[in-house]
Amino acid sequence: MDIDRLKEKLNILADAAKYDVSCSSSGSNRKNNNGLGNGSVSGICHSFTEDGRCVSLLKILLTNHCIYDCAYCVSRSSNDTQRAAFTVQEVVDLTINFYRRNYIEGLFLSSGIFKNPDFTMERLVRVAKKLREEHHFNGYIHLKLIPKASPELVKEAGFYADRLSINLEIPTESGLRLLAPEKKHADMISPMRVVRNEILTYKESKKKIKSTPKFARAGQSSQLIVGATQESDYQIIQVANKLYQNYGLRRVYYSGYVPMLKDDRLPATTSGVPAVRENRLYQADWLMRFYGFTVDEILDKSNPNLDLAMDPKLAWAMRHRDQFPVPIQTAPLNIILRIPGVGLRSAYKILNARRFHNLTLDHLKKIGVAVNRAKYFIAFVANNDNLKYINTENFKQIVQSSLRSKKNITQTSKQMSLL
Amino acid sequence: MITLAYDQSFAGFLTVIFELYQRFDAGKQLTNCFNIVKYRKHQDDLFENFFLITTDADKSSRVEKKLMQLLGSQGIKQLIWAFLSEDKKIENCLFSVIRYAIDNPKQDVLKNFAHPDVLQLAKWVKSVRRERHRMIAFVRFEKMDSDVFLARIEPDFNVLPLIIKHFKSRYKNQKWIIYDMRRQYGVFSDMQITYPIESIDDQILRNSKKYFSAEEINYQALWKDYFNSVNIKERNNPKLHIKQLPRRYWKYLTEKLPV
Repeated sequence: MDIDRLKEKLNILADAAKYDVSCSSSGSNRKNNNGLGNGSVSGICHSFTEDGRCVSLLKILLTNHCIYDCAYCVSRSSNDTQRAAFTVQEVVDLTINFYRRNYIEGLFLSSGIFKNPDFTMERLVRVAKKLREEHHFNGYIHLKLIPKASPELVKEAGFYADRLSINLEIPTESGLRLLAPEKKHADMISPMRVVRNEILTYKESKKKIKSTPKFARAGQSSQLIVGATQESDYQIIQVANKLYQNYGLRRVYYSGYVPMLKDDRLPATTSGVPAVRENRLYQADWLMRFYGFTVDEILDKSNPNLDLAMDPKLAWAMRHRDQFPVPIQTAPLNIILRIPGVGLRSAYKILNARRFHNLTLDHLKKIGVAVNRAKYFIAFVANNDNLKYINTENFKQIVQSSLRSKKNITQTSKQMSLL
Repeated sequence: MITLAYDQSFAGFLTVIFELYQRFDAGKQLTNCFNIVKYRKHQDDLFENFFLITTDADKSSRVEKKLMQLLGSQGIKQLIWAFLSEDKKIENCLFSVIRYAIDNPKQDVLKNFAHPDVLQLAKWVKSVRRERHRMIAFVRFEKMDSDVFLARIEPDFNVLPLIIKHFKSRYKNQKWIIYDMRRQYGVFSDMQITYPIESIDDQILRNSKKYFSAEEINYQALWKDYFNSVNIKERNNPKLHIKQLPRRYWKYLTEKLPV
C-alpha cells in the first residue's frame, strides 16, 4: 500500500468527520457466524481523545468534496481546504484491519456530496455491502443518509447498516435557510420517514415470518448544532422531542458549535464552544427519555433557556417546591426520579434498600446519590434538618452555594463530562 | 482471632467456608473472629491460631450448591467477580455476606445495600466489571509474523477469565493470544478452541516489534494518525481525558505509545 498517501487521506477525512458527535456503537446484537466480529448490545468505547470524547467507530468521510455550501460545515464547497477521497476498497481494508486489532467497534461512514445525492449514497451503500457480503463482517456499521437520496437507496442502506442517521444540524427552518440555503428540513425529514416506515414494516413482517432480517437494528439518530444560530433551548428540545415522538429516533446528539469558519452569518471565531449549554441540553434530553419529564415541564415560552448554573432537574424542582419534600420510604419510582441528584441507578437501589431499612442521608450517599442537591428535597423517617430551607426566600442561593463548592462554572470555556 | 489461609483459588475459598461451619462453628461466632487470607510462605509464623486449609473439590461443591439455593446463579456470579478483585480483605467481606445469607435464608439479601458488606460486595463487583469492560475496550492486538494476533495486558484485577468469551465470539477467523503480564498467564485461541497458556517466550513479550508481521507497523501508524485527527483541539480537556483513559493503561495502548 502507498502508506503516505493513505495516511494523508485518513488525516483529512477523519478530521472532516469529527464534528459529527455521534459515537454510539450500541443496539446491535449481530452474531458472528465464523466471520469477523459481532455486535455488542451496550456498545464499547475503545479509546478516548484528548478532548474527552470516545472513539468507538472508525469515523470518516468517504470524501470531503461537496457540491453544497453550508456555512457551518468545514467541507463546504467555498472553504479553501485540502480535498481527498477514499476508494471503496481502502475504507474496507482500514475497517477490517482496525477491527482485527480491537481498535474499533466498526465503521461510521459519512460523506460530502459529490456529483449528486444518489451517486454518493450508492457509494456508501457499496462499502457496507462489501464489508457484509465479501468479508463477512458483523461489526457495527453506521451509515449516514444523504439528504435527497432516493428511498430505494435508503432501504438498501438499512439492510446492511446497523444504524442510519441524517443530521438536521440547524434546529430551526429559518436558521437553516440562513446558513444552508440549498437545504430544507424536509430534505432530511423524508429519509427519516422512510427509515421509520421500513423499521415498522420489517417488525410487522417478523411477527409472521420469523426469518425476516432486521432493518437498521440499532435504529436511527440525528444531530443538532447548538449555538450556530440564534435558536433557544426550548426550540431545540422541542425539535428533539418531535424527532423522538414522530420518527422513533434512538438518539438526538447536540453538538456545541466549534467556531472555526469566518462568516458574517456565524458566531465570531473567538467566541468559544458552548460546552456547558450542550451539557445542559443532554441533561434535558435524558430527563425526557428516562425520567418521565415532558418538554413543557423542562422549559416553556416564558422560560426558554436552560439555566447554565444548575441542572434542568434541579431547576424544575426550584420552580415546583410545593411537590417536595418527597417521602423516601413510600414515594413511587416516578416521584423518586424527580428528586434532584437522584439518578436512575440510585432510584432502583433506593427502591430495593428501603424494604430493609428506614433510609438515612448517609445511606443515600453510599448508594451514590448526589446528596449536596438531594438533601434539600427528601423527607426521611428521621428528622431532616435541611428541609427548613425549602420555603426560605434565598433557597436558590443556599442550594447553589453547596453546588459551587464542588465546581466553578463559567459559560463556555470550562468543559464538563457529557455523559 | 482464627486465621485461615487457602491457595487463592475460588474453590479453595469455598472450602474455607465449609471448614468454618464444619470445624469452627462459625454460625455461632461473631464474623470478625475469623480472618481469611491468601496463603504465602512463612505466613504461619505471623499469626497465632493459624490454619492452612487444603482445597477440596467435594467440600467446595457442597458450599456452591448451598449458595446456589440461597443466592442463585446471579448471586454466585457476583461473589466470583468480587473475588477476582484479589483484594486483601475480599474473603472476609464475602464470608460476611455469605453468613448474612445463611442467617436470613428467606430474604434476597444481596439487594440490601444498607448492609455494609453487601454494599462493599456490590462495589467490588462494580470495580471488577469496570475493569473487565476496560480490558474488552483497551486490549490492543498486534499481528505477529506467525499470523497470530497478540495482546498484552496488565489489568488491576484478575479479569482475563471474564473476557475470553467476548473475544472468542468476536474473532472467529483469526488466531489470538491475550497474555496477562502481571499474573503471567494467558489464553490462546486457534479459532476453534481456547487454551490456557502458562508462559510465552520472554523475547516476544518484551520485544514484540521484532516479531511483527509486515503490515503491522503501517496499521499502527494509521491508527495513531487517526486518533490524533479526530481530536477537536478547541475542546481539549486533559483532566477528563486522564479520567477516561488512565495512564496505567497507556503502556499497551497503541495510540498512546510514542512513535
